[in-house]
Amino acid sequence: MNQSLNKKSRIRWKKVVPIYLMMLPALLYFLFNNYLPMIGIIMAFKKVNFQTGILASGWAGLDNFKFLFSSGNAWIITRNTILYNVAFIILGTVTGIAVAILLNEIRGKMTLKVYQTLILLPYLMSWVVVSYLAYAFLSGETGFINNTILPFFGSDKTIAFYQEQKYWPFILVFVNLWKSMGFNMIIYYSCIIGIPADYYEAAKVDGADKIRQIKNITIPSLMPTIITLFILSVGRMFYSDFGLFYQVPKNSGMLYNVTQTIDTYVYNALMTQNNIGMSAATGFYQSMVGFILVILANQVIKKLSAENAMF
Amino acid sequence: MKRKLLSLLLVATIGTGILAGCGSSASSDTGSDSGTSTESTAGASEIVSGETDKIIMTYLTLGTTPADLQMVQDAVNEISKEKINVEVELKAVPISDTFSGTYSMWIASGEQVDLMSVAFQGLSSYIDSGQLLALNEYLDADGNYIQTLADEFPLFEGSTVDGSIYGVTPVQPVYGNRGGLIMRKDYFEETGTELKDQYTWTELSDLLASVKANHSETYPYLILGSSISASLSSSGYFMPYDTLGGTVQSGVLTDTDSTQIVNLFETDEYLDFLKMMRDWNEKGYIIPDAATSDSLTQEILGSEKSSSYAMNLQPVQTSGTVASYGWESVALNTTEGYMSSTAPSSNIYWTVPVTSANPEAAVKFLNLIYEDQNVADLLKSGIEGTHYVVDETTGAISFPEGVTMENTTYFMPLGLYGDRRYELQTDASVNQETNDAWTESNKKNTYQSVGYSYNSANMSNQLIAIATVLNQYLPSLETGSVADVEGTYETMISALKAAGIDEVIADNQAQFDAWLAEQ
Repeated sequence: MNQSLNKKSRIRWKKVVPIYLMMLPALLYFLFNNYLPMIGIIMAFKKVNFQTGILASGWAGLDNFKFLFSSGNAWIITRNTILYNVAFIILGTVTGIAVAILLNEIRGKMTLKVYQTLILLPYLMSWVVVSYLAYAFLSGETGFINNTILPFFGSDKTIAFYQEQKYWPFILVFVNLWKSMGFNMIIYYSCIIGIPADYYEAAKVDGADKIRQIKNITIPSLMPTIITLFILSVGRMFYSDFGLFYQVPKNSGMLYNVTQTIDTYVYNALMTQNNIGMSAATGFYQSMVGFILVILANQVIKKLSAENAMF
Repeated sequence: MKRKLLSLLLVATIGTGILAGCGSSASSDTGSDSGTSTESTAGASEIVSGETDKIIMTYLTLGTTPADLQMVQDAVNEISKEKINVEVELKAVPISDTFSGTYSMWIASGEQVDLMSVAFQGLSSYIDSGQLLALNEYLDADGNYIQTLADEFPLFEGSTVDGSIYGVTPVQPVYGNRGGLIMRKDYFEETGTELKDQYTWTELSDLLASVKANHSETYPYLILGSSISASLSSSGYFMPYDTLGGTVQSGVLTDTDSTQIVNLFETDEYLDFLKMMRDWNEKGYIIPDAATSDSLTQEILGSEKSSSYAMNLQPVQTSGTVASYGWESVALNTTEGYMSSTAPSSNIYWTVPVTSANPEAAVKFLNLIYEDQNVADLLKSGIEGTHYVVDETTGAISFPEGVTMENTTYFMPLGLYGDRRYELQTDASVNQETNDAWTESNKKNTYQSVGYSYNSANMSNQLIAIATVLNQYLPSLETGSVADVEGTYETMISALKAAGIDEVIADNQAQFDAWLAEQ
């Protein structure tokens, strides 16, 4: 009895060790890249002194968090980050699917390629380039809108876009859609191509028109992809696209109420205020809220469809 | 089994993490301790082996690095190697980058910088977070010439905290402040007005209006959001005040007789200034995109798009020479001359950061810049014959034949180096006598706070909060870009109060009162 157990466990070891060895490189990678830097969280609770080093610096308690919360900034950056992401996820999915379906109806091979490339092109641009494209439209002195469009409609007023908050929620959502639509479209388009043609032929025989075919065949077939992508983006909800929120509004102070997200806030805190402790505190806050958000999203998905939940 | 192994791995992970943490702290501690000892031994062996010390020194630029920087560096090294056996590497950095934390990033990441020039910003945030070395012992050992000069000139003003010296300022040819507007001479003459001794705000507005009328396609007054920051409000060029050795964030004295520190931004005069800027912007005197533009001052002034800018005047500018932008200029005084508490340092400091590999050699080289005018001249003006020629009769320098502002390979408008009294001049009419007269006249309006410097160590969190607010609002307000001046202004004032500006001013006032009592 005892002997056989020993033998059994020895065999298991032999099987298991190579598998763990295979895991080792990835494990080390995560250890050094993802876990070790977490020690840096202590900076959020320290008054960092460069001369003595991080560990020997004095403790600051919750002082570093005070500014974030007392000035009302925590609320603004959290609200901006979440609301913009919600808008991006919903509109991004809807337009992505719509464009993919439209593209699928194009028969000419050449035109299809041209459209596909043109729609994808913005996705390949860097945010800096995009920010100057936006500037070419919005600039007060030389901008297309202020110099061509407004005079065309008989208005001689100049709109100072970079000073007026009310325009920016639309501008940011629009710019983000314009840039990311191509990529969203490609994913859905590749799924649509994969839908067997017989479904559509059968539907045609039954007398279904194009709208009906889309409603009853295309969308249901895309559902698993939509859910997976949705979960993925909810998990990243508390990260914002730094380039979009920093470059496109040109970091204009007057717009902070509607453009400042957690990532740009951390950057500004570190760059203009020269304070590592406060930046770390904000980063810590971001991780905490992000963590809560992921858990919540997972819980909701578990309720709706258990097999799609992450854990 | 699997679980046990996993938990074992986890424990190992955390364990090594902690060990690594301790390890780095231990090594950094011993690093800073043993640093001095190895350096002193290096110093000793240097005499024996004669090995050259290499230091890295920042080289501030206005955005573009001069093409011949390497050539100048080689020329400097020729002198310094022979005299003090130190070789220097110039590390070019745009001055605007240094306003936004580049230096702190370097120091935080441990990058070696031995001599760092901090210009047009206060030192307190660097000192508070321990980024700079106290220079006292190094100056005693290797900075004899600086020490001698310091007996006569306020070289350590604004950089001394509790007896520790953290920075050395250049010797200025002129001390004191006077706000002014530098304007294109031809544009000014077209308006047909006589040059006045001093201009009121209304007179300035009228003048800009007539320039605009003559050149409707240009924007006569250049101010950019990127040149305004929490520590540099452009209001200082239009109204005199003193920042008590700190910045506008910690309160100002508005009057030379006053000892009552007030919040600059709450004064009526400041609000009037903002309204004037809005007026100028609306009338097209200021570039519409000024608040967010990435253009460089040089570019705009050189391209005839704009024809005047504000600055602190010195005799050099009043003589109406060819300015750095390819046109002749006139200087319009906007304030009286006065002596403020930051005037001695002019906010330029040479410092040694904690990441310096060789502070001794750094201070030795700094000393050489003050002592050997050739080194300072090389850094400021380049190589004689190649980058400038000296007029034999007047002693003034100019570009050699065929070289202009556009194609020069070495041009450095920032005066940061050494004993600036002996700096090469572009205009022969400026000599030390005119400079001294100017300094004397400024001394007539001396603020009560000269000699005093605010120690902000207890208020660092409030100051950061205040700086954030100012960085958010000032670039837009002071370029007149905001339509609703008063509404935005009110928001800024309440944000400043929430950030604790009143607390800081009270702290400053208490220190100032104690200092006054001692005098």
